[in-house]
Amino acid sequence: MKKQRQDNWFKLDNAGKLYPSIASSRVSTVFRLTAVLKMPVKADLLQQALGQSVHRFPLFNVKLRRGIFWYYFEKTTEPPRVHRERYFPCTSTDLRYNQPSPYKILYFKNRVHLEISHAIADGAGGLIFLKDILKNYHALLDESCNPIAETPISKEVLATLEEDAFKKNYEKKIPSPQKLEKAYHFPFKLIEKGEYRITNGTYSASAFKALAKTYNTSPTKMLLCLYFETIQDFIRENETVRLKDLKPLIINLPVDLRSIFPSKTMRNFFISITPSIDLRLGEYNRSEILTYLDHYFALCLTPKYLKRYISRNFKNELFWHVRLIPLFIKDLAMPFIYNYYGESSYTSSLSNLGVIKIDEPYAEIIEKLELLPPPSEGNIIKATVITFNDITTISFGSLTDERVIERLFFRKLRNEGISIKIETNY
Amino acid sequence: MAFCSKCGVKLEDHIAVCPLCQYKVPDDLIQTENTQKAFPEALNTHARQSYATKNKIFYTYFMISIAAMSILIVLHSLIRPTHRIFQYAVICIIASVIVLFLLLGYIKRVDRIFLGLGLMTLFLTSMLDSIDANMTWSLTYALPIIVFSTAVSMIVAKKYAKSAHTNHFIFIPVYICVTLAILLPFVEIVIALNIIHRVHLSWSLISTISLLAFSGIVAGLYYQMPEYIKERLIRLFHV
Repeated sequence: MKKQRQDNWFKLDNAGKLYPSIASSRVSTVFRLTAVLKMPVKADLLQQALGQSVHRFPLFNVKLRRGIFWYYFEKTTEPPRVHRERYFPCTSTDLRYNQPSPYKILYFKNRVHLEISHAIADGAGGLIFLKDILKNYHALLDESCNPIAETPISKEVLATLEEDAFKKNYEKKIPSPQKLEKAYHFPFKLIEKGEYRITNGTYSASAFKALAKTYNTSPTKMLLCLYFETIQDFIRENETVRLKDLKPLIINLPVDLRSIFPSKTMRNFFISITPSIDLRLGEYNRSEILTYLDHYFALCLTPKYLKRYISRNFKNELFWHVRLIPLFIKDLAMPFIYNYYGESSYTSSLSNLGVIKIDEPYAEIIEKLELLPPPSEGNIIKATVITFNDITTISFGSLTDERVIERLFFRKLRNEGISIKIETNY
Repeated sequence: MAFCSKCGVKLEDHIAVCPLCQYKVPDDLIQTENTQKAFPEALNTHARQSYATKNKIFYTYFMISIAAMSILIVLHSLIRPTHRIFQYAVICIIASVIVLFLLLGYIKRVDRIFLGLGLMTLFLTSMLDSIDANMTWSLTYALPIIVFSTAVSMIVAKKYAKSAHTNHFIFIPVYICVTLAILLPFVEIVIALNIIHRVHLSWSLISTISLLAFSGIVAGLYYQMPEYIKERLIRLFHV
């Protein structure tokens, strides 16, 4: 009986613990994974596919509940309902109340969206779940197709998929890294609460890879370099702040730790690295930025360096006085702490989920994938990148009506000979 | 396919103006039929959710108030006390419901909220004062102060809404301080006229000067004083 009770709920992982407490109308902590299909979505089949997927991954058959000291997930029997998209993307703010599901499955015309809170999973974890839904959807769609009988996931494998990888890789005696200095922030006026502006740009992944190759670099570093150049151009042309008062440009770049540490978890397992350039030292040309990024990546992307961040994040959770603070006080304090230690140290963020592979024949119904960043009041413009089927989609999520950053970025990309198509929600 | 020749990017087929630079797409490139929009016409969840939350708060408070007033009326009819505590309590509960309604933002314009608060305060003071069937302080003190405060608050709220400072929240304390700086001398004049029957200003002047100085410093720091003023101040006050 006791064992059964323990199986009905589980704690939020180390990174996830923070997110419900900071969720608000402008910091929803919800990101969106979209699969653009080659035909319109059939809602009833999508609902069935979701039902099959949550049965396979019980991690996602949960609702978020409030404890006295922490939030927790409680397992449910019914998967959430599939809905037609009606609201601005990534703006679900009911995370703290009403015992919500930490994700939503939406559809619009030929698009299937997974809007998922960072409280339960990161991009890589969410993508495994979305892929499984699409796999089930494909099987239900094609009646002639005999779906491969999925062997149920064993309890041991499920345990590895649901593990808190931060806890597993935490080492007690590793010192924490120093706090970053405050970063430059865009001086733009915010839009109405509950609204979110999306600018999607799609281009050929192979063409961009060829461009990166001409500079002897990777597509991620090339994108990061172009983003730094864009912000630098914006400051040079528009900013009225004196040079000596200008804060450094710091980009938050999440790194998937599954490729560095041995874990297959579907829950959060990422750390943000923070490449930066300081314009007080002078203007940077492309070669300088790329050289800096080469060295910075080589320095940062090592287990030893990243363990310091895991240690810092996990250590906070172990302090008894932090654990004993009631949840309503944590809810009040966390947004300020997050802003002070997190968002004030970043100018923007660029998250690249990489090149996504989906097994045949399931991939045949998917045209492209998209990834939208969660809105954030501290970093009012964020970017995300995902590649599938030789199509890269870069999405800018913005809480302002100013389009200057997106305009400069896409013009820069166009000047490099990359053909781009823009889609927006405004 | 729609195309922005200024940005050099392809656009969705139905787009008439480039979303990045507002450049007008030539009419012959725009398709209005069979367009595959990436996003629907979106609704704002925040407005819906905050309205639902507001309704919950107001409804709960309203029901509690009704229950409290019913209990007070029943107790009053049973006990029949000589004092008037039950009447005072009922009037205060009615006023608190009106205040909650005004503060929850059902009325959008701030100047109208101030007008509502002013009218409600007039109602509250006159009702409290009339319980003993003799209107005194509500006419001599409350009426002029409330009318003047409401008028000043409405004017300042309108000025703030029309000014260029609406997104600069640092100016909210500045506007509040300026409003108080105007109100406090008037309050002291009303008190003095009622007690010593002549105009006399003392504490309100100190408050007004302090509030105006604070407003000036905050606004000045925000705008960052020009270099020549900074230099002159350093020269004058160096130690």
